[in-house]
Amino acid sequence: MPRYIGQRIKRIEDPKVLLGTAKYVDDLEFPGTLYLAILRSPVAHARLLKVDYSDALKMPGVVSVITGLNIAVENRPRNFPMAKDEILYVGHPIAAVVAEDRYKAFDALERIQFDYEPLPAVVDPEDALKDEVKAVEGMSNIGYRKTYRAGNPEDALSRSDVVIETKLEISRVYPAAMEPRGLLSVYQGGRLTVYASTQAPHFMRRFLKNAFGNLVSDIRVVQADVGGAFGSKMFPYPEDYITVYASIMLRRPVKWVNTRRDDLMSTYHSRGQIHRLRAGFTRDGEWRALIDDLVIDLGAATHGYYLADITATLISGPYKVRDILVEVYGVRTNKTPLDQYRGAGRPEAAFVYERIMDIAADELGMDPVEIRRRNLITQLPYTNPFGHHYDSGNYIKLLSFAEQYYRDFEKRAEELRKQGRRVGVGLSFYIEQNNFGPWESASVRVKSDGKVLVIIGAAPHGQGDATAIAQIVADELGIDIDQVEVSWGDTELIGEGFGTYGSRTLTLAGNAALLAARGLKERLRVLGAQLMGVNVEEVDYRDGRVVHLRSGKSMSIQEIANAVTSNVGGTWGYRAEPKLEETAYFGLKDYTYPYGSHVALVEVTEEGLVKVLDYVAIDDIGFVVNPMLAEGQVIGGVIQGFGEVVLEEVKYDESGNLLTQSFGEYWLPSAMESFKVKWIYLEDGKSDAPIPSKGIAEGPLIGVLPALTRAIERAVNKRITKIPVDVKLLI
Amino acid sequence: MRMSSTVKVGPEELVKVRVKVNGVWYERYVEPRKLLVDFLREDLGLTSVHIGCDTGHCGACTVIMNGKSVKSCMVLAVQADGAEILTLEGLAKDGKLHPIQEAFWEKHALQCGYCTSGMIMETYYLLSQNPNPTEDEIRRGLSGNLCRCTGYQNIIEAVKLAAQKLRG
Ligand code: FES
Ligand code: FES
Repeated sequence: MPRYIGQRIKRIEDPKVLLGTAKYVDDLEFPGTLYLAILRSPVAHARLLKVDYSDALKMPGVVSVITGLNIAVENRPRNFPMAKDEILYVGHPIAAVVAEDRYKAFDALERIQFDYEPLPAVVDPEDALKDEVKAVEGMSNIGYRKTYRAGNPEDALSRSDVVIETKLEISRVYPAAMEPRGLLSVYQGGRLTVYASTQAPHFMRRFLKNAFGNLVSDIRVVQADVGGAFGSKMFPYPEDYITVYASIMLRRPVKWVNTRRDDLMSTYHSRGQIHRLRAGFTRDGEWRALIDDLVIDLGAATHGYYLADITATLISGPYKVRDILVEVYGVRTNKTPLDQYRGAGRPEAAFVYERIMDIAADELGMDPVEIRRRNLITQLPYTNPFGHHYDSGNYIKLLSFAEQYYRDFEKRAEELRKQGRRVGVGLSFYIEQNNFGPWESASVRVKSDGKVLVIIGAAPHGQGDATAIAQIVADELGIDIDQVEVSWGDTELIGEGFGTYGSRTLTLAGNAALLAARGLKERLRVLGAQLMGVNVEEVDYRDGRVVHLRSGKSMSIQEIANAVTSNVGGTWGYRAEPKLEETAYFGLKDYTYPYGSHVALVEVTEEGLVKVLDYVAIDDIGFVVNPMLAEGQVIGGVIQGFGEVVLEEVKYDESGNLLTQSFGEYWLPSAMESFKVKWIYLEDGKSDAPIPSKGIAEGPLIGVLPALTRAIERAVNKRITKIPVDVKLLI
Repeated sequence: MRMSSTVKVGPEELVKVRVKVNGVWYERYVEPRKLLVDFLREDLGLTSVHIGCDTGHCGACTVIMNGKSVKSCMVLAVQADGAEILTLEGLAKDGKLHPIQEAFWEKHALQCGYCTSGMIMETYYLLSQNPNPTEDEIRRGLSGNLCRCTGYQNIIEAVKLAAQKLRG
């Protein structure tokens, strides 16, 4: 009987945070650390003519100024990591000052002069499509183009009874981890150790090594404690290169940490999609066809193009429609480059297919639950029109479960409407794609005192995976969980690994840890038998002990570890290899596809405030190792999604000036707007892994956008086609 | 001889600051423009005090100064001269968690933990003023502290539990 998995176990990560002893990157110092600050462009598009930093260099405490650094990195803009001849967006690095402390570094930034010749900025993504004014000189604005076609959508559309035609917009948002990005690069005799606020240390080592491999013999990346990431602390950033470069050139430890203002203009924004679509339905609500022009506002670089691919290939969601055409246009604009944020393309897809469902229900006079039931996939596994293999579960069952809440919320809404209040109910059904791979690693070691150390190649940063993995290993080894420690985030702790992203860590690293623990048990058996002088065939491993059945002799893990690690200077008297360690790598042959439904009861007050009166999220994410942790992900994700529907939007003016440069302009949900979220999980659709989980971190942000949007739409009785919802519609 | 409270060191004029932090008196010379948050972090090594915005919006830098919660990015170190300050490092006694810390643990009120020190200090202040707050009062009390991870629900539950524990 498992003692821990499936239980709400308190987090082993918490004590150091609660005591104030967690170490985020800005909390780390080495003697002689220099501080790097970045001069960023205040204009969106310009020709950079000259940078004069002679005055800055004269300031006391200033060690160096870097300008014009250019490194070729795949898919990054020209002028990466610094503008050399062309400025491409507000926030584009122009120069970096390295000084003895951060006050001096920021002082010196003000003494740098630069001359530029303004160029017209490309701001509106649909204008960008015309390709008249160029966002990057000499390059087409169309940075990415792809056609996704399945079946015969034109024909299916022409034979539809009802065609919905609409434009849907998902605005640019900013991930807003509470800890801004930062890096401490330590140069020591030709080797580099980089402490980083990252979610993928091994991946970071790879990309830094590619750029600096000729300047240093090796790079070790150590993930500091990370104050949230949500996808935004994974891919290469200009400041990573600038900081590492400075530390190599100066042969000193160099630290850079974004201010919030810098973070708002430099951490890759996300979403930023426009869909102009036509969706065809039969009179009785069968979704037959979709033709969609998807414009994604990539900003000054094209590396976010893959987000449109994810959206396009999941545009049919959990529904049976198979005649689909999505034309993807990835456009360059003079804005901060775009990349992933929690959900990465799937929230955009869900917003589109669920808006289509709700709008169709209205047009056809159908019940929103019925129209979904009419279209949901009923046979799993199912290969969707663009090749995704939806693996397992029971969509209809989950919908029927959600329906009970929907009907109940509707009744309550009816009552409240009678009192003259503006109340609405929204339901969403969504599908996810999880466990972005390819694989993950884990080592399980017994230390000399018998404690078990698990090292994973993934790099969690707040999700609580260490606790869940300790649960798995403690159960597998049959020991108390307080005998298990979990460590991660250092490229020299374990061979290779990837990181924590794409709702993958528990399934991939957790199963790797399980397999490693199984291997370790076998090692313990062999060693235990030898140490006891008995035949290995006659011993069993039971609850942390190797037991010789016939004689009743046994040894605990601790006794074995002690026997193996004692006798310093003596001889090795037993034959088994004294290796109390096993490593395993685990991957799945395909992605996993959890699914779920969210139901929201919302009031819009007379002043136009959106109040969520009740909220339930129902998910099937396969096996749940720690419901407390999974629920934590859901609650947090739903509130983030509330931000995206009601408050959050990165705003630029027509000239490309960034208007949202602090939390005064970019509004995050606070405790005032937040609300209670109830989470329910079904465990129908398991994955193929030994611990058959599927992942949850991103699901809530996928389910919440359409559910809340619909509820608000019903409350104000006006069609909503853009998030965040225009305040004019609320009053 | 009494040292004057300002000294000239190089081009900057440094000002003497005496503060009692977590029960210990410290005396340091600082630039007059130095923020209290940087002073606590850099001069005293109290890195539980986090910087989430430096514009007074996020509350990650919240500490208790003379019994009141302040956002230490909005206060100059020199303004704290003579003050008594409590940071998260000073909350646990003899290795035993304070009831607020216990409650945050039990209720899973933290994920990445970056907001947690500020949240706990704000809770400390809130409960010192109002030992039995309603949910609305808790929400209002924490409205200046942003958390991107938890969605606040478990934080609010933790504050309720802490209040209960502290009332005994
Ligand atoms: S850092 Fe002080 S309020 Fe954000
Ligand atoms: S726990 Fe991450 S910001 Fe609150």
